[in-house]
Amino acid sequence: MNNKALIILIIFVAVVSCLTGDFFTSRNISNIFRQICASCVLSLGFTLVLGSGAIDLSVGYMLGMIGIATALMAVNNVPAPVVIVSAILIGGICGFCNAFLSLTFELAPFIVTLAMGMVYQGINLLMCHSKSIANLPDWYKFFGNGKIGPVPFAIVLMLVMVIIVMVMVQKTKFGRYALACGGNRKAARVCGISTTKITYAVYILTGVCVGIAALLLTGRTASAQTGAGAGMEMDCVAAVVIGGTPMEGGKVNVFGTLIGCLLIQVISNSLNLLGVDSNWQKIAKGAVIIVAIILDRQGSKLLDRIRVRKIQMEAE
Amino acid sequence: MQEKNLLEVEGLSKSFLGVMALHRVNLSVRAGEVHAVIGENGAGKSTMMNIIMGDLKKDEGKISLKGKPVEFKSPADAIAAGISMIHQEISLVPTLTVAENIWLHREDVFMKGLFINSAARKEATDRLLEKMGISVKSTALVSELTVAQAQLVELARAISSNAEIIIMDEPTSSLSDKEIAILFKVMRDLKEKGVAIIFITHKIEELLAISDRVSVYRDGCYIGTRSCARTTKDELISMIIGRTLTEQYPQIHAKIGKPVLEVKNLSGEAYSNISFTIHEGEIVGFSGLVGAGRSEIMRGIFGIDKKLGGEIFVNGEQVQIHSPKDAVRHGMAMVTEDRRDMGIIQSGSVKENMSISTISDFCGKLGIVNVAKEQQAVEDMMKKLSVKAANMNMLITSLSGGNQQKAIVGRWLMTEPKLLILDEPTRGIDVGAKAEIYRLIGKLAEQGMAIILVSSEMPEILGMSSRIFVVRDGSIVFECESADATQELLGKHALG
Repeated sequence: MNNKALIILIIFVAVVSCLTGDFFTSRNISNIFRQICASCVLSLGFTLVLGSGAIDLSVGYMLGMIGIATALMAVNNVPAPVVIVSAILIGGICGFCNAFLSLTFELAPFIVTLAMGMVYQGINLLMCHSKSIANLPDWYKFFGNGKIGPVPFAIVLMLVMVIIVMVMVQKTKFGRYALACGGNRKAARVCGISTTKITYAVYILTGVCVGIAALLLTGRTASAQTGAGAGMEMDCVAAVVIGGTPMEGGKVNVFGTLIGCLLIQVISNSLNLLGVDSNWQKIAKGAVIIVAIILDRQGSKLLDRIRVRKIQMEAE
Repeated sequence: MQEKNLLEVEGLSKSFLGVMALHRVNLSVRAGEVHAVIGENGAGKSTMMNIIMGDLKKDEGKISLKGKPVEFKSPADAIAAGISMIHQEISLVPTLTVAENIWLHREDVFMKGLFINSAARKEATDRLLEKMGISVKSTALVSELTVAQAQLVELARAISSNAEIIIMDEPTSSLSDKEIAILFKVMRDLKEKGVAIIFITHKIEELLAISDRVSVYRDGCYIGTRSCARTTKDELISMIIGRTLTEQYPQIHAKIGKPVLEVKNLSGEAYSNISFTIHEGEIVGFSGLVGAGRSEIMRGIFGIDKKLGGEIFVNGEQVQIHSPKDAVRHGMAMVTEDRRDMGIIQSGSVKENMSISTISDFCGKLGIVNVAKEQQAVEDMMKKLSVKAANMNMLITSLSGGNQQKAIVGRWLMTEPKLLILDEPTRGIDVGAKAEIYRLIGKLAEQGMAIILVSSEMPEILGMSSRIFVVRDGSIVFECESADATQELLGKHALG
């Protein structure tokens, strides 16, 4: 019962599939899953950052920049392994910069990452002279369209990442430390945890997630768009919070993040199927996200009440 | 003598999540009396006050004010009806000045057209503070004040609202004797004016010194009310814990061994030239007023705050401590003064809180935690310290204050430290848990641990330490064996 987002998702899907027969086609379902891969991997990093009590608003523009950079390398015949490692490396370096600035000068991560996002966007546009980069080599497109057996490679990669992050957060020392920092940074430091190291690690890992997400997104669109990634950080916030990770830090729900991403995509997808005007879609999406979070919070209260009744009944 | 009851609580009950927090409790408070409310943590005192203030809804029972039944929907209603409460945790806005805080939400007194007449407000505040004998500038920001000063400002705010009933929830817990004297003077003045004060406390001596009557609660039940003139400390203790407590402080037979920690000429922002040595099996008490620099010295030693100079030796070797991580590596442990701020990790379970400093010991390859091993270690420690929790996966915040404190001590004992620094280890915890912590400290010393005990409670320092230092204005001004120490002697040096 820890995943109220899952229940909301099921209800939403049930309603939509009643309204339109086009939803439950294998093609549409597969599409939805493929569309969430990049945003889900991005949100995994975001989940880590939120859990450790910080925030990273630069992930969207960072993704766009890495997409353009790697696409430029790929069209200039740089070998695939080098490009892939570069994507991860650039992400890591960007994450390091975010952490370095906020820790060294004791600045709020909110403003540092907001500003760095602008920097990344600028670098992005300078690199590609504000033009999209097409004609990517086939190996790059494999990130978006390749298949392992019957399953798209992107989905496999996403699920592997979900599992890695889940294990990292729930089972490792690093996860405990990161969540302790999110719960009470001062206390964590007194406990003997090097909170600065943890913050660096969290931001670098987030950068790595962004790098992988950039490969997935660019691969799927088969070209690096200049505007790619813009605003994705807000979708991340929504997905992660719907998934049950609180903004205050100290707690995470990694599986919930996957569900949150799915829910947001299902909302867009079903509104498309229902032929809702794209401007209205935006309003509807915002409204549905708010409703989802309200249901989530009210659901928690309801669960508490049920638990109380159970305890009382046992007592009698 | 039949006096009229100002506030009458009858048969009040309340349960949370199916657990009975209050069971048909009573309380009657007369005008012009200090009515103490005492009981162990979890006895239901705070719950009762929160219901009176309208912060919580009652399940059943009756509350009447001046004979008329009332049911406040929010604290604002209660305040409007003349009941004010000073909470245990400070509820001032740190970024506003003292004057702004005192008159917050009541600025209309000083309105001049659309604007606040700050000069008039400052003048009124100055008058109020002066009358109370509080030496705090009305233009100072609350964030610049010490905890004790902030508490007095909070008191000033309650008084300025002309309340007929003031509820004080453990107001003395972070005050030193000097400020307690101010508080008591203010309480007596209020009493004379006919104000009723409900005084929640853990300290029996204090209660007997100031109160007229005392009501005792235990496990959510009302035990009884006594007149302070006609009761004794022993009677109250047995009412509070339901059994007679013979010896609060244990007999400690520890062998003093080699030096563990040596500090030479340590200086920091709030202290300078601190030198002392602590040996195995020794309990060294640090006494002094709140704000004298005791906690700051300990935070400096443990690497929480920056030091400006000096040397630290552990087991005879000089060490560099730049962060708590270094201190832990050299075998130190520290239970900090403020549990909420630097102790517990609120979002974590009891288990996660207890194992956080030793998690590396339970890790296999890739840093993956062996949960079975971790649970075993935590369970052993919980048993050893008798931490009372339904299970170790509960949130630490669901535990009572005393059990939270035991969990934090347990966290550090799991690191098997050679030196344990305890900064106000019994603040805000009940008599029973206190005695358990004292016994534990004694046992640890007997096992050869060196212990530093920082405390504002002189009986605690005298009862537990083998050697005592008095700190004043950031310097050690006095040192003695505890056999030679008396409360008067320590008090004299603390005040200078």
